[in-house]
Amino acid sequence: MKKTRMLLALLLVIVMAFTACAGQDVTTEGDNTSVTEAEGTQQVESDELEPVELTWYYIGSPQAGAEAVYAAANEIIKEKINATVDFQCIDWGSYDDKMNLMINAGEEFDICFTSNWSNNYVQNVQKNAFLPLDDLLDEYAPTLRSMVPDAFWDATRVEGEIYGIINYQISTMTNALTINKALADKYGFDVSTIEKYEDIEPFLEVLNENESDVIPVNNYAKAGSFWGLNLARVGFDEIAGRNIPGVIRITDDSLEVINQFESEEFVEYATLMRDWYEKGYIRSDAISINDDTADMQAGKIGVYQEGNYSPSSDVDNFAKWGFETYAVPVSDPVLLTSSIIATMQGISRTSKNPERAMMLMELVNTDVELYNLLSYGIEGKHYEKLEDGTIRLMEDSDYNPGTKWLFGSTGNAYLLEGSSPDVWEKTVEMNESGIPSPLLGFTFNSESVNSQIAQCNSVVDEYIAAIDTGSMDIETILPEFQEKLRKAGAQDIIDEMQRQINEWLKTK
Amino acid sequence: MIKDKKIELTKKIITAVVLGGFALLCFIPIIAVISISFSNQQDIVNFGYKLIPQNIDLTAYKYILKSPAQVLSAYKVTTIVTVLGTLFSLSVIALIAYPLSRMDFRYRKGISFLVFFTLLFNAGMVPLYIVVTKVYQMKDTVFALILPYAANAWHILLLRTFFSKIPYSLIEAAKLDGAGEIQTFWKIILPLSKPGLATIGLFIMLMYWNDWWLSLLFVESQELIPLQYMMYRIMSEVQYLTQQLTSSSVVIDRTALPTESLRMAMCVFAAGPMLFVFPFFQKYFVKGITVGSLKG
Repeated sequence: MKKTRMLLALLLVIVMAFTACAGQDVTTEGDNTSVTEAEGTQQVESDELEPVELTWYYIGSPQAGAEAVYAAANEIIKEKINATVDFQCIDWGSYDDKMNLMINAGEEFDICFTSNWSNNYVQNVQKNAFLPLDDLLDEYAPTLRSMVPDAFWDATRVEGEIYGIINYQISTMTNALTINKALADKYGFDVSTIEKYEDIEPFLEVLNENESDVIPVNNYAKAGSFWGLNLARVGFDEIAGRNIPGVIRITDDSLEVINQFESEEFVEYATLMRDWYEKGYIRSDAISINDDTADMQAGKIGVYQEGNYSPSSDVDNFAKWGFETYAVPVSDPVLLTSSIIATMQGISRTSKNPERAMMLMELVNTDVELYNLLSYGIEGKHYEKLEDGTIRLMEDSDYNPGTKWLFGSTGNAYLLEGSSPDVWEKTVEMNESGIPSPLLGFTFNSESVNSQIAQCNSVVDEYIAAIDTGSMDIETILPEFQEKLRKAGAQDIIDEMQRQINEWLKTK
Repeated sequence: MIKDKKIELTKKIITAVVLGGFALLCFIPIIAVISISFSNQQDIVNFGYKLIPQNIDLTAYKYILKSPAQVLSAYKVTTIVTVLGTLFSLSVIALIAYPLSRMDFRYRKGISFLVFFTLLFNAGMVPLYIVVTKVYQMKDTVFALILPYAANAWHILLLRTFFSKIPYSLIEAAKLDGAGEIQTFWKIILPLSKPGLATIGLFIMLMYWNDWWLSLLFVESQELIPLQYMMYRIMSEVQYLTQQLTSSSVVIDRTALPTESLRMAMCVFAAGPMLFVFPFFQKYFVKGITVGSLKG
């Protein structure tokens, strides 16, 4: 008996020894870094600002050459605001989980990327994860504050307060048709004839007859659906997401919530896609395809639909797919909450230095050098400057995050080779001329209808690809789809939306 | 009689066909992965996935081996975690399981209950995260990849069952011959339990080898990223960028994504070694799993 007890004691000792080792290891590591940093600060004789360390979490593909870029960025940051930033790039697939966990665990960090598609902004604000920023913005980031129009800041407000620092960029939603330039030129198709969506049909017909290798319209079973890319064109603004029942008409000031899947516009869209499918403009196996990357890179596409036109679309497309395009807007630019809150940074409530974090935000949005360093890497190593002031990215470089909208206002970005020099002016113009959605600044709290949303979501997932690709007879499939949505509780969601919107209208 | 034999034969054939078919179903995906890893991207676009590549193309492997630092470092981390983790975890588990298997251990019930309780209830992810990062300060260390899995309750129970099959008279005999508890454990129990230890050891090894979850939670520095997490990252990234992001209003350069064949070549790299280790353990594996589970 004694010996068994001894055995247990031994076990305990082993475990404790192990944990003790683990603990020690961390502390020594921590000491080392703080020592080197302290040495670094002594060399810089800057202003009265205390040296601090900030942590910035953001989403992206971790880049092999990131260390060098971060070091160069820290030199600038150190000099300007006497801070060192620990940049933490978390990969696309894990960012959501990781941030969720860190926020729930109350872990200490300063800045994180937040949006409506990753690390959900509104949910985080409701969780009390972020600091309200009105005062901080006024005091420490005056340029940033005035650079972004007030309407944009209002879109970030949750219960009256700003919690997100906007990366100012194209924030209007303009649906577009993107046309393969080589093919359009070959058949002499004049893209200026396109005023509305259906005007593309003659071109599709030509392609279908003459180019057997080319897919005239690149519709496939895309997650998020192609229908979702047509909302601006048909004049809807989504409330809880593109595929969740409940939209308002942008022209409707009474803000009546309707079910987009029962709207005339949706039926029209479905009919058109069916027609295109039957004529062979959409490939026959489209419904079984969920990734178009290979076809796109091979340039085998005639036309594809795009949700978000920007003045640099053609250049971006070329960089993305390797063939030249004509991007033709087919809707008016609409200013939506969802596109404004798509790229923001939040300052964590656990931050010890929110003032400095805000100063960093000001810096990254005003310092051209710092911003481009983070976006494109080091000049001469990751990109080269051309004579006309545009830049060319190096091939096979070890730093190309490809996400310039993530770090700050894209107005400071160097233009990529081939861009027209007035892209930024045009962008600002579009932002300012965009038709503001009457819902601007409203955020929907989905808590009470989450299960209905999940059910509707799976119904939409089941049917939308068939409608996008036109591969099933809409006479039978549409009623079935609508019936299933009703059963899944679409009306509950819409009622709840209407209730919240009415309440929001009262406070406005 | 002849009829019986015929029935026997048809039974055998049916079994063979069913099992053979099932085995084939398990095997085809692996062949497909290997085949795709050797195909070139253009062939995949033109002909779709084929079980035999149209043209052998080594681009993907060349690409990986051109800058092997990432893969090698990931291999290193995984190997260290798997080897250290398996040894440590196996010793911890054996040292808990043995006393629990002894009927004459006074606190057996209490401790068994504690172990069993964790199997049914756990606090969840956030408390785990807080314990590991704040209480033990293990964030971003290799310990965070090993310790959280070290005392797996299920493995303890399996091994306890295995130990308790060893006749008590053996332990008594050892005692009479003057062996102490530790000596009995070391000289009698452990050698007799080799199949059990090998089975549990394999379980543990697979667990550590296949784990990406702990590294997703606790690791931030690139040099501590294990193989599976690297794979998970590549795959989830592709999936995320091709599916999720399409509905948002941001633009991402998709040409930077690895090609299909590159992804599959990565799979081959990651899964390869385990494919070879497994058959060697199979002997113990089969024996151990029947012993453990039937009596569990």
